Amino acid sequence: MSLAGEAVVAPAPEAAAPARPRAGAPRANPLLVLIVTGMVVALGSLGFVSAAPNRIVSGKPLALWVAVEPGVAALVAALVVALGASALIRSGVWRDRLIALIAAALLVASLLAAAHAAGLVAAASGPVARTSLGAAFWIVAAGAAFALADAVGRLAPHPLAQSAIAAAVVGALLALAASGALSDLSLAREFANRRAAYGAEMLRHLALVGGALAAALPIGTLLGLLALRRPGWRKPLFAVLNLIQTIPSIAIFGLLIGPLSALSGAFPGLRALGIGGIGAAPAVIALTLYGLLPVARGAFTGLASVPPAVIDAARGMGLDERQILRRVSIPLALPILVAALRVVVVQLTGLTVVAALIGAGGLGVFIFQGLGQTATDLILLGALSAIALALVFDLALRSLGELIATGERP
Amino acid sequence: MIVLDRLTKRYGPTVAVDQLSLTVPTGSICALVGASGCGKSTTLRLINRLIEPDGGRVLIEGTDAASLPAVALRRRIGYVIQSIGLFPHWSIARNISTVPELLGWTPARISARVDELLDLVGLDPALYRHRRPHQLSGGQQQRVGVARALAADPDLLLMDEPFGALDPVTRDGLQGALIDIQARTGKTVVIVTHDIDEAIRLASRIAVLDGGRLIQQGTPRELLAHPVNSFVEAFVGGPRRGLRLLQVTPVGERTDYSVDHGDACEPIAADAMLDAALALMVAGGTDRLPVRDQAGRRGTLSLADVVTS
Amino acid sequence: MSDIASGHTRPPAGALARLAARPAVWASLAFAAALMLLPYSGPLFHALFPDLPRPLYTRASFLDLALSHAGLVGLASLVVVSLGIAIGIFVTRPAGRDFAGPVDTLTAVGQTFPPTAVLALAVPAIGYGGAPTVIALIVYGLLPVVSATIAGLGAVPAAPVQAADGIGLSPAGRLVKVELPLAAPVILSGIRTSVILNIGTATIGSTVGALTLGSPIIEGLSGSNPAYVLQGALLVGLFAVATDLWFDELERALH
Repeated sequence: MSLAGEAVVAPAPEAAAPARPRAGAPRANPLLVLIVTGMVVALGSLGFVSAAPNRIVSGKPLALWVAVEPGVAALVAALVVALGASALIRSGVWRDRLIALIAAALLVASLLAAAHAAGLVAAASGPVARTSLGAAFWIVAAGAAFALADAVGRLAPHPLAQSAIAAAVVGALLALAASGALSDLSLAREFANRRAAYGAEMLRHLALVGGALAAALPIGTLLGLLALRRPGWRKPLFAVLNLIQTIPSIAIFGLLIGPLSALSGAFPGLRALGIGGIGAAPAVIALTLYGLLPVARGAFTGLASVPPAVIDAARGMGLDERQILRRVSIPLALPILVAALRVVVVQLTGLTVVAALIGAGGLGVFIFQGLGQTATDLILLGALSAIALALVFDLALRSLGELIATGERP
Repeated sequence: MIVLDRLTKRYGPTVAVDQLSLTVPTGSICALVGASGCGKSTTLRLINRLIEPDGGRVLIEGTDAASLPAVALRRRIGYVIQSIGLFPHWSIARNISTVPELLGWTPARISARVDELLDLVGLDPALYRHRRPHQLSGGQQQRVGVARALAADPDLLLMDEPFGALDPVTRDGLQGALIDIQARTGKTVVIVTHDIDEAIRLASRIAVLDGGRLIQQGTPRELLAHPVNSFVEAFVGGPRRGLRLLQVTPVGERTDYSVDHGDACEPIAADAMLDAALALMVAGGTDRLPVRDQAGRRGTLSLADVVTS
Repeated sequence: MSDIASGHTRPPAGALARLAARPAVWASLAFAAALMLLPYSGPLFHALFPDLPRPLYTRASFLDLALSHAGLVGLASLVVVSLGIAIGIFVTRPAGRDFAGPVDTLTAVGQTFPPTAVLALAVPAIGYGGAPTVIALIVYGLLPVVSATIAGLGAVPAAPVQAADGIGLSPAGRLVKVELPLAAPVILSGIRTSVILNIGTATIGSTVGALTLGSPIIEGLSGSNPAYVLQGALLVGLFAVATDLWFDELERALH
């Protein structure tokens, strides 16, 4: 049973999870206490940034109060303390608003503090010196982001509202980056050095996912319909699709190299089309194979979830098969179909990272280049971009699913 | 008039419907009854060609159903099923307007028709038009199911155990509503049921099926009075058959109009059924009841006349 | 249940025949055979790839690679299963209720992260080698197990739980004797997802310096040696499929 399949079969609880209201009597927020304790310990014992004389050597960790001017350190510390204090007051809407506000401020402040530290390092040690984000920064930032998400989840349970707030936060961070305030950070330098390549690889990543979707959606849907119409084929079909998902992606990519290079060797016309052992062709084929299971299972589960009585009534009233599919089956199956689409898009976005290993390009290029050059900030650039892309797709399709669900409820 | 002519349907080696011939006069309610698996539902679905026959014909007002496109045929025939099958993603109004929409009626005509039908099935249009199926009770949903089936004013209504999933009180109300609707619209109705009481109450003709064959057909009274074999006799009630016979025999048939019992109590109408008369006797502790027919003639019904014909 | 029980009472020959009918057995045998025979397959790969001077991966023995791969996944899975189920139990008890919502959110969001990105992030945090791979496998592998445990315990019907309370079981007794057995199939499917994902992620682990069956693949890709790629892909594919099929058997035994 694959991850993808699980999610398709049970979209509802997963979709509802971020929106779940917290039950129980009003009291302190133990999770936030835990988060703030973690922040305090991290700030006290780990480096907030790490400074290195150049790109390749590994840096020396600098604690927050060493890395930045006292006023900046005090601001970050004050926000952490304020977040901890707000965890102890009794629960209510205004507490969640306060937490959201402080957490958002802490997120921005810690990023600005790190950039400020990078500016100080650059001023002291020259332009080749590198300042990377340290463990304490990541713990504070992740904690603040999670506190923000948790508070927003309770304040605005609707995924559309959550999407709007997420977009606002991301927009603020992007504006900060665009303003040049962060440009002394090593991560920003890695990006600046590869601005053109970054855009190209991002587009490449999207193109690979899009190409695989273009093939997996129609084929997978047909397979799902086949499973629906021919009960005897159901078990072997899903067993085979499940087996494909079981095989590690890199193995499928690798196994396709031989046959495809043989093909392009035998038919030079294929090579002219760009089809060969390495590159986009094996990547899209492998990604398509992976996408088949969630798509087929989604189409099958969705259409099988339509009550037989409704189909019988529709047929008895004189709807033809196409009208039944268009007017009845697909609208009723839509929530499950969209959930399946979300699963397959997120999964393919992740798998495409690996495609860089067979020369197909995409965001994985930065990860594997970074791993090869021991350039940690290049690794971060690729990994964080891939994670962000998957999250954007997830949130967007979750919102779409919610829109459809509310459209159906009066 | 609906004529089933030697209709046959096989599933592999089993014969679901075996050379079944049956005539349903226009404007009557015909009940197909029998145990589960007797082929009654299959027969119904052969009429609107949800199932294609392996032999025989269905003639609707003289036209062979097989000569029409199946989809067009079904749009001319109302269809009501036990599990109702309302479209959960549509409002009540849109559910009812499905077939008129397919037939290309104007929106104004559809809208007027929806209100008319909701009135007919006893639901207030202002209240129910915009609701969703899940906001209605089972009985209300089936009222909508009947309205939806009647939407395009079909001459023929097919009902497959339409009230089988409802509680007895709701079922009783809907049976009454169906009798009323049929009386007002004059539709021809073929209804499948395993409930002989329902068949007796609703149908002017009952066809008893067993193993895909037609065993006996006739008016409820004919079946109760003269079952052709022990199967039909058991089906229509066995030892309780006599009680059901009272339900279909009018008081007037047993009344002695030579004796005027006077006005000791309120007289019973001559077209009431004997079961009602018997109930009055038991309740009043008497063995005689005054009777008055529609013409105003007076007479007397005695317990002995109820029991012996 | 019944076919396991009847399997015990049959004569050995019958049991053997039943064993032979299991695809898991065949996949495992194929994996073992590939491991044993690949070192002697030099001539075959010479014939297949005549242009390659060294068509057989020899930097490490395939057996060592497989053992290291299985060791990484096994170690991570051990931690994942014990920790994941513990977390899942904790947040479904009254004491941990407060954490249920956030943990649910975290697992849902975390599972959208590309596993390779999580693996890559372990390098800046820990460095290269087997350790970051195991850490990444644990972090990523926890998510499906935790969410499956929460889902499985949450889906236990109310009636048996009330009956357990009614006959006077303690909360711990109720958990062990009623809730966990009823949730077991769901939890097992979460473990399966986690293990299969981790076999795949561990394969990529060779890019961060772990010794796995992915090593020939990665080396073959960077050194343009398709024979290495084929050898690694064949072995890791068989390993994953065999493991997955054994989970099939386990699930069948549970039902």
